[in-house]
Amino acid sequence: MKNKETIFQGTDMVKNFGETTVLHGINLELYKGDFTVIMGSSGSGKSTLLYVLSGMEQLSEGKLLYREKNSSKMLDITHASEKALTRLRAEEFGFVFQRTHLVSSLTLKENICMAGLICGSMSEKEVREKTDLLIRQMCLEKAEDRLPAQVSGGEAQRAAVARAVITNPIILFADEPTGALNKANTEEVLNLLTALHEEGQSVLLVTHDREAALRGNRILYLEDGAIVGELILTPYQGKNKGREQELASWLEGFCW
Amino acid sequence: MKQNKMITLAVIVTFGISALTGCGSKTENPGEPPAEVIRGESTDLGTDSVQAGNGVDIVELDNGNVYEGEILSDAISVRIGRESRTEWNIDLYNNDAALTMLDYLSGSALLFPTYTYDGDGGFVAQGVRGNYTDDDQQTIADVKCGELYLFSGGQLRFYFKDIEGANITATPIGYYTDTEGLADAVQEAYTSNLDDTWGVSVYFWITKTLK
Amino acid sequence: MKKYQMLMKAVWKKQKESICGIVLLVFVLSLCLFSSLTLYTSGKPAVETEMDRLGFGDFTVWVHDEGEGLAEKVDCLTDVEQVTCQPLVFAGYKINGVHSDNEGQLLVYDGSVPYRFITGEGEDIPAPAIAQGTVYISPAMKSSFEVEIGDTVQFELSRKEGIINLTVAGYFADGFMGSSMIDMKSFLINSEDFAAMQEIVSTAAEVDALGRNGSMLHIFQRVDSSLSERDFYGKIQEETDISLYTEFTYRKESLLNYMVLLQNILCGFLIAFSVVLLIVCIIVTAHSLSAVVEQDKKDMAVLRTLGMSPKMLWGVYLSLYGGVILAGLLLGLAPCVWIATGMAKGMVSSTGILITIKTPVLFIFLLLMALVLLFTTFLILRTRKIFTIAPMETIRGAAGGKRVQTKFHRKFLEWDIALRELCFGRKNYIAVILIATFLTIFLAVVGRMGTWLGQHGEGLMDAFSVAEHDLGVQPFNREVPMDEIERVISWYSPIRETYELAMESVTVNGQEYEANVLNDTKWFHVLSGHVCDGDSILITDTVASELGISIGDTVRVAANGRIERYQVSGIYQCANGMGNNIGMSMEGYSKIGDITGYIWCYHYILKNGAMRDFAMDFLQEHYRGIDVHTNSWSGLNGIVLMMHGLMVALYLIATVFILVCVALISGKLLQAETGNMAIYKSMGLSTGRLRLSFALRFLIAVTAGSVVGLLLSAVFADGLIRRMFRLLGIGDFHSGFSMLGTLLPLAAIPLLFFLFAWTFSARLKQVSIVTLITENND
Repeated sequence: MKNKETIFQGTDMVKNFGETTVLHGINLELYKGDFTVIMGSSGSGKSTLLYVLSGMEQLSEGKLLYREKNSSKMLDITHASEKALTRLRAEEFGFVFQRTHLVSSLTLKENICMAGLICGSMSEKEVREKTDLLIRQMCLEKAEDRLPAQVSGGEAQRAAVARAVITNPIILFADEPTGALNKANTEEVLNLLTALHEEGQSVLLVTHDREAALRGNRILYLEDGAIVGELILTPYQGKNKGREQELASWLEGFCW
Repeated sequence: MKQNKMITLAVIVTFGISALTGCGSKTENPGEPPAEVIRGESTDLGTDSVQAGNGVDIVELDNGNVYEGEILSDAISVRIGRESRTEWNIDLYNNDAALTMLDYLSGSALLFPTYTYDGDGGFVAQGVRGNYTDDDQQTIADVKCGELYLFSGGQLRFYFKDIEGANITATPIGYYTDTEGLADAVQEAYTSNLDDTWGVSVYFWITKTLK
Repeated sequence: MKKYQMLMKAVWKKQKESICGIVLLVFVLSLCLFSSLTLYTSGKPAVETEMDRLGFGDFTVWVHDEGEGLAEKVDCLTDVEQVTCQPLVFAGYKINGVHSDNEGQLLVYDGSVPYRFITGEGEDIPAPAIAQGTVYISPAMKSSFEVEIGDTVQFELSRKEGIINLTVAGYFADGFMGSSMIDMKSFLINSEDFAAMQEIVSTAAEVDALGRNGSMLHIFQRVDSSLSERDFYGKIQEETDISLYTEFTYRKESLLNYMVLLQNILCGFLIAFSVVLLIVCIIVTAHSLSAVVEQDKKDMAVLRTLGMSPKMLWGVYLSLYGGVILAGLLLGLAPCVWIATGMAKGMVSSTGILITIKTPVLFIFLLLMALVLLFTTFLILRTRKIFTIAPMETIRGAAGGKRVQTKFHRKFLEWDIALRELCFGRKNYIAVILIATFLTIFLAVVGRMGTWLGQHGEGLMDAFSVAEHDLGVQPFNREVPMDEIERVISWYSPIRETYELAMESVTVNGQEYEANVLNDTKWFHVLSGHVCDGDSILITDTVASELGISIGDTVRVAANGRIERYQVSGIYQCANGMGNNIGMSMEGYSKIGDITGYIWCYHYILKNGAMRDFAMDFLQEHYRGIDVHTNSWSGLNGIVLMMHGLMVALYLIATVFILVCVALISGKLLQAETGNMAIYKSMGLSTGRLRLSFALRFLIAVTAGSVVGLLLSAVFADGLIRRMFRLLGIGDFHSGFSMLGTLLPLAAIPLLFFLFAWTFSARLKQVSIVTLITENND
């Protein structure tokens, strides 16, 4: 890992909700170009860890640093202003959620385009060109002018992914993106994430789906708010029995 | 805290807008006019008044009197007596006294009452507002039938008889262009109006004809 | 029952903000409506009672000279029940350096006439014993002369040692001269002072006399008299020589109308405003209820699956919202007597009389019932939706929405998002548009009136005078040097125009009116037809309707024992004397009146109208035998002050209403759109930009509503105001473009909506992306 660029560096990260401690002093580094997967049983704190890393939740204790785009300095997310976090969300972070969370009054195309317009790093023309490109890549041509309520779950989730990546984010946070999808749609979305990763996109995926986890090259296992295991896999290159078995036996160690 | 500020701002906007209903600058008091203005020695004041005609005429009237000045021909027409239909024309002199009278008239017939009848003096007269007039006072020895004069104090006299040796000082206003039958018309109007409840001697219908 | 209570509690807990908002709206409406109605219904009876108490007759005739003899003669007539004579002295006066345009009437106060004494703030005080050298005045003079207790009133009785100074000791409720609408004011003085004044006036040489002795003859008609009011007064005039002494006459009814006119205008406005508020209230409640039903639909569906009948659910909502509306109405009703009393007290400086407030219990009860009925019907209609909730479909959630095509540009992203949300959720904004439309119409009407009224009441001045002018000078004798006076006026400002006016009493077809005689008829404000000439007259709308005559009709006009026939050439505007006027040319009047007497008032229009007061002061100070006046009258300030106060009050009430409306509507919208807002936030749109976009939606919707309102007001406002003004004798009303009537409502209403929406959208700061995600991750 030493030759990889660190994008997140968390030290002794603690997150409390009232008297309940969800994260217990986690130390974690995330690297550029990695497809990191966080697994764990329900209530283990995996989603909370994602929210903390993405700046949506503030840490109760500890420190979290983030290397901004084109900068050698690390930004202390723990104490970052709302303005700085808004800029990060607009330009450097991409989000995909379990529910697609598309703006209901915008068509799929507009949802994708809107993210590009909010982010200031591309010209308006570039945003429109990239929107068209993503629509083609995500096979959304037929649904592009429809409202989210009028398309299938898979189409909506693909649009959500497109929306998340239109700004060329440093990292793509994906919180159970396939949790509400059927098998075919799940496959489609995972293929998309894999393709993006292959193009160099850093991804942080929270899931309890073994199939989804197989797409990652670094798997972290959370239990009671602490990282209890880490598995490094070779990059995903299609179905591979060896990788599957390696993950399965690793997960068996956590009674999965 | 910010919410409070916005509500305060809205209240200020409302009050500000409401205050627009009335606000203005105060004019400074210029003080009191100087004595020469009050006495009329200053020349740059006054209202615009009707100016008509130009050039100077020397008129020898039918009655032999001579008037040197501009004449406003057929300025007014007159019917003598409340029921009369006969029109008499009057030429006016172009002086302030006559112009003020002319200003006073519009195109409709004005029923003008005269309250004084002096058969021996040969005139009928009425007090008019003499405040603007008296600008062209002359002394006339013999007054002729058909002449109109304004006396100081604001009495307007119309002579319907020739009065020799009258020696009056007054402002000439104008004259009837035709004097034939004038004395009789006045006499008749006077007689027919003797029981007038207002004490009017002779009524005249006066109409401005000069455009 | 317990189930009912639990549900009620649950709905209250969830909807308490919107419920409180509705209560507040209904409260403001109820307060405004019931207070103004209480004041309105109390006004006329209160003034009438006061007039009766002070002994005002069916007719009261103001006569000069001793009135006792006349009173006895009138008293002998068969149809006369009683005549009382109240001696008085007419005199010009000056307060704080300001000379009154009109004479005052000095009356003795010895307790025989039960005058009511009040403070300047409208509180009753016990009747004092008026000390020598002091005077009690009408509180209406506070606004016209800025007079305070301790100031000196200078009465002009005679040129030779006849200027009497009296100190203002307090105020009294002037039952029939008090209102700012009436020029002549009464002064109550001590009997010794009164006797001394009568002495000065009666012993002064004619040339020196400035004041006159006179009397008020209160004439009461017998109850069993078969004569009409007009015939009754005609008979008195015929059978006595009262007309030789008459200065002016008022019927009780016409003076009563004058006295209550101002508060009726005020109440009229407030009642009209209340109607607008009622409409707005209904719209907001409708919107709020729809949103509540929509919001609680899921809960209701779940409850229905648990076996709760739709009727029961409907009952909960109906009783809860019905209850809060009733509570709002009652809360507003409770302090209405207190508020009306406060308004009556506040208006004392305009009305000159303290109106005793009496609650019209039956009327208010019936109105309250009508309002309850209206709101209940409306609630029933709006909550009917509850019956159509299909449990499972609702729980699953039905997808909705129709695609809208609006473009997005980075530069105007907030605007574009606002426009999209507005178009997408357009039915949510119909309420906002309607509210803006109604408020704009109303405020435009108010603004147009304000503009017409002008900063100093110019509109009223023009409406109540025969023709516009800055200065009027009426010489009373030949000694007055008019040329000199004109030079003085010209020194202050060049004279732009001049004309002459006489106001003389005439009868038209036997009915008494005032003839406005002009030497130049172009100055008449002719509304229809054409100006009069020597053979025709102009009439006001009031005269036209009173006599049933119109343009082209021939009428008999009589004065001074002469009678002539004239044709009506047109309708003109002159609200003076409640519109009881006719317009004549000098030539026309010359047939029935003496045009050579000192009846003419010289009117001057100055190039610099601001100089008029200075010129007037100088003339009043230095010349005798003249009456100098402006187009204004002493009570005008009070009226203008009241109208401006009313406008500010209306704007403030409108602001409170807008505040509550925005709170209610934006609350519901934000609640419904939390999801979208959080998504925008997750995409990196800052809270500030989201708030701006949210407030912009209101700005766009309200501006659209305001423009519609403005267009409607442009079409209907003048007509509405004209109808109202006709009741006051003002025949016509035209308002063009104005800051106050056009731009102000158009700017103020959207701006207020925008500001309040921005303020309330602060809750967007609390919208958490995490909550959104976790709430929906089921």
